Amino acid sequence: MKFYTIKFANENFEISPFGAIFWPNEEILIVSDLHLEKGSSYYQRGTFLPPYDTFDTINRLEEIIKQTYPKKVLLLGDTMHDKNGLLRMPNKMKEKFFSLLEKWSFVLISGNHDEEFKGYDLKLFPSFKIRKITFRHQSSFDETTEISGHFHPVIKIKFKGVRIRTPCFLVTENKIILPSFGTFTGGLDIKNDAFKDIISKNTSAYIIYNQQIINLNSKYF
Amino acid sequence: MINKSHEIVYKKLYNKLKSHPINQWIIDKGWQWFPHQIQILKSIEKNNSILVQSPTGTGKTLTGFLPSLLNFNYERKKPKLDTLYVSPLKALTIDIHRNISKPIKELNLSINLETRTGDTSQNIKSRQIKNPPDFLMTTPESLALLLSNQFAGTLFKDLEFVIIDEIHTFLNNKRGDLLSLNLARLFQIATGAKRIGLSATIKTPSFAMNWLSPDKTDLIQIKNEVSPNIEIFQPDKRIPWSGHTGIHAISEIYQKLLGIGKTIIFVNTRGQAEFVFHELWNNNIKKYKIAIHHGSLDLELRKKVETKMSQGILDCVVATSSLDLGIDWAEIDLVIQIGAPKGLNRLIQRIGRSNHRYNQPSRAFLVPTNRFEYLECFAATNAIKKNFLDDVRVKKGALDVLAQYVYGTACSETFEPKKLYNIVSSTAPYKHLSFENFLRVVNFVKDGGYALKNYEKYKRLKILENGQITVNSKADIRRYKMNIGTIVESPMLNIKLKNRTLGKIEENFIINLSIGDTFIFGGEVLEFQKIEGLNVYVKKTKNKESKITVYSGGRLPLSTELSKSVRELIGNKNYWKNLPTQIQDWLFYQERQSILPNPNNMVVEIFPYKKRFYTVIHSFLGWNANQTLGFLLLRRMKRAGFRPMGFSMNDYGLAVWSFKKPQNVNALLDNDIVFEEFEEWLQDTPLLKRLFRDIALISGLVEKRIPGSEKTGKQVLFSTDLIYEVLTKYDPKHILLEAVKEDAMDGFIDGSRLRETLHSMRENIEVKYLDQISPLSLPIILDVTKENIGYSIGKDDILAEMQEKNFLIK
Repeated sequence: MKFYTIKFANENFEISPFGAIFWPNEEILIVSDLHLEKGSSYYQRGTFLPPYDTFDTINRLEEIIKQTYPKKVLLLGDTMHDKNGLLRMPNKMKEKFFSLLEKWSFVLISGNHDEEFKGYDLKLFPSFKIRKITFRHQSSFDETTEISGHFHPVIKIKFKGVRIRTPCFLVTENKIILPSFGTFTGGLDIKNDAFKDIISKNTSAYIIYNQQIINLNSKYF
Repeated sequence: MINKSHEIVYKKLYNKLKSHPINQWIIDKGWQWFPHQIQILKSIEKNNSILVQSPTGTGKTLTGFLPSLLNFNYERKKPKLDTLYVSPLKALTIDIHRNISKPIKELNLSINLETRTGDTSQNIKSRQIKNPPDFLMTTPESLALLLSNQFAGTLFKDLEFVIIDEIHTFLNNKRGDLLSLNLARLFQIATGAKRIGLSATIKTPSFAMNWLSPDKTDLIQIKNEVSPNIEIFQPDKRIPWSGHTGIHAISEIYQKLLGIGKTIIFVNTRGQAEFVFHELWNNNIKKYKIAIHHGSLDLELRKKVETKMSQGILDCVVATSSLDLGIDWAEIDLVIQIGAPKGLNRLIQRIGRSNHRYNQPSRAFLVPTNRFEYLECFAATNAIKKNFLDDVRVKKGALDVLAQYVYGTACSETFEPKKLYNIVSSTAPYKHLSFENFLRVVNFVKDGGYALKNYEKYKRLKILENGQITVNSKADIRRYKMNIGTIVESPMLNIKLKNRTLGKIEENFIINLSIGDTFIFGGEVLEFQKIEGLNVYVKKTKNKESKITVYSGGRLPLSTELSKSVRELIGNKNYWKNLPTQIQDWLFYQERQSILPNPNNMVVEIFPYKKRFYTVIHSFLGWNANQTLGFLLLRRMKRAGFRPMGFSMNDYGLAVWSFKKPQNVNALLDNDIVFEEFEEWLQDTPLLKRLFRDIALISGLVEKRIPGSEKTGKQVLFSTDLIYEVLTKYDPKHILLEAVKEDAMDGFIDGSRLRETLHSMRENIEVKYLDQISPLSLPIILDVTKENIGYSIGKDDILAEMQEKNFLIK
């Protein structure tokens, strides 16, 4: 799968069709919103979603790591779907997840559920700065140069009777918003009001379609 | 009055009937008993199950209730439910209640009869269980809910009669599957109840008889002696090649209303209903009282129309299939059908709405809107004269419906799997269900039934020590009750004009509108303003013209029998003489330039047009199967190197366009296409995802409504697309994926019909290479609209096309 290179804050960034971003100069991999154990959180409440989402998400995470061999992996928050997620996670997967964290020096940024790793020897950062770029869960909507997640942006387009609904990366002059990486994470249509402070004429949208990253012409969103 | 001959044969019954007050009522009305009404009284003495098959206008409903009325214990001490009546429509339930109430009220009989539907208030519902009426009229969904009530046993155990009306509408769909299962349960409780099925005329009555009861069913058949009087609109203007508006006929349709009395105008889609209604009002110089009735209109508005109909206030109603069934609007003088009839049974049923009097011809006026529809209308008229009927395609009972039923059963009682299986497999739809698949469905209800057992914490069902199964918690019962039913609608939004709700409209339709666009709804031209939550805000506009809108409202494919009749009409010149000259000329040109289709061939034409090669297959397979064939052919033609670009289709044929000229067409259409390309296509068609959404909802995998969430307005809580993808990846044998495939073969994709046709036609494909478009191909090519183009060659091609159209920045 091919990466798509963009310029952001005078640096090259490579967008992967896996739904992650690689920063080659720093050899950093950026991933957001894994929402591990989302399936089981529904399951507990009686909606029997298939129990394969954590497995799938971790496998894909491992694969993108192997493709990029990063020095660091930044997880931009909402790594677990809820605070009890780790309790529900099958041991085998927990082992695999923690061994990945150790091996590839992860930086975990806290999301909406700060307690998700309570009791584990893990440091969670509210935000993390590398050079001029701040990494955080939810964008601050100010002038800071930021890379964040949280919103799970999704674009819906209709083209000649074909409906396409796909996760997308939103890029402005000083912000990047990543799509969610988790297998069971849906998304929020970028037409939703939540995006109104982000999307302007100068926003670019990069959609994931057919295992490629494609820059959509802004007049279509 | 009773005829002499009946008097002798049914002496005993005659006395019984004569001594009953209803006899005098019939006499006072100046009516007489129909032979089949006597016959049912005789049959009910010996049989536990009876199917009454009759055309409309033959007192079918009264026939159904006659055994109840005559055998009713007027001396009863305690209130008990005597007769349960189930009909497919809420409106019909209310209508029948009104009709049966008449003699009961006028004769002052001490019978309480009530309806119970989704609209019945909670107070009345609880009272009905504690203190039941004698006759209860209800719908399949309300029956399902009643059966999950803890007092169901007491309520139903003394039932004498169960009447299923319009039974033909239940024979091959999910709603029928659910009703069939619930009836099996009902008869476990109501062991002494007799079954009476009422049906329109169908080709194979045994399907309905088997559906009604696993045991012997007696058949009472009433034949209509008089053929209907059908006239087809003869235009003096040019007949359109394609399109479905009927605009060319509006003034003639209006002329038909003059001095005729009461008319129903049937159309095929909701959008068309709106269009015709609007146009008629624009022409309404005589100020006729014209109303509109379709499924998207607000319930209150629909009820108003129905009430006005029954009071005889209206002159004309424009309607979709929402009025196909039942509603007895006596004294209808004319039925107008605009657009293709699509099926013989449906047309007969619609025509039967006019003149609810036995042995008097119904009157109908058919208005085809384009050339193929002319052929269809003529073919249908010929077929009806010959008493042809469509056959019902019997399908296997759906697994998602079974899941809902198992859940429902567990909510009301503990059950033993083997016993429940015996009940389930006693019904016609699930006769062939294996015990193994039944257990897989039970496991699915219990915990999702996944290959990977990850989470043991929560289960919907628990297994007791003695092997019996029951529901885990009270919360589950509530959850089940909120999600009962098999009708999954595409998300609907409320149309709001200030504070007034006009009705509901498909989200998919609204999404394509821009602010300021106009559309017709409820006969008014409305301007789209904004969407907020589940509401679409509109304002009225003075504009009389609107953007013509087609929003879906059930697209029915051409029936197999009617398709055959159309091909017979085209293939045999002797039949052409009654056709309008324009249509005759069209067919003559086709004969001269190419080949005429007939019932025994499949004509394929290949010609260049607008820098592409068009391959047109005159398959007459109906919309769904043509669409499927289109998708499969794209794959096969791509593989063969013909570089196909897309296709369009209608009920009669399909056109694929490609850059290269296709060769060896017989091999392209070899019936192994439904095996080789089919499996592959199934994997990535969005159609299956759409089907899966319905299945996920019906089976209870995800819920439309979760207790407490009603207020938020969020409906489906989880993207079923994601579930579908994960399941196909990690659990490809999951029972719900099996359910998707079975559904696909039957309905949407019509794989079975496609398979059979390609197999039977394999020796009779006639290929013709032409220099230009043929007369018969023209409508199919012109039908190329946004909606019916399929681009499924692959995502690559979509991207390439997007690139070309400047959709993307590279």
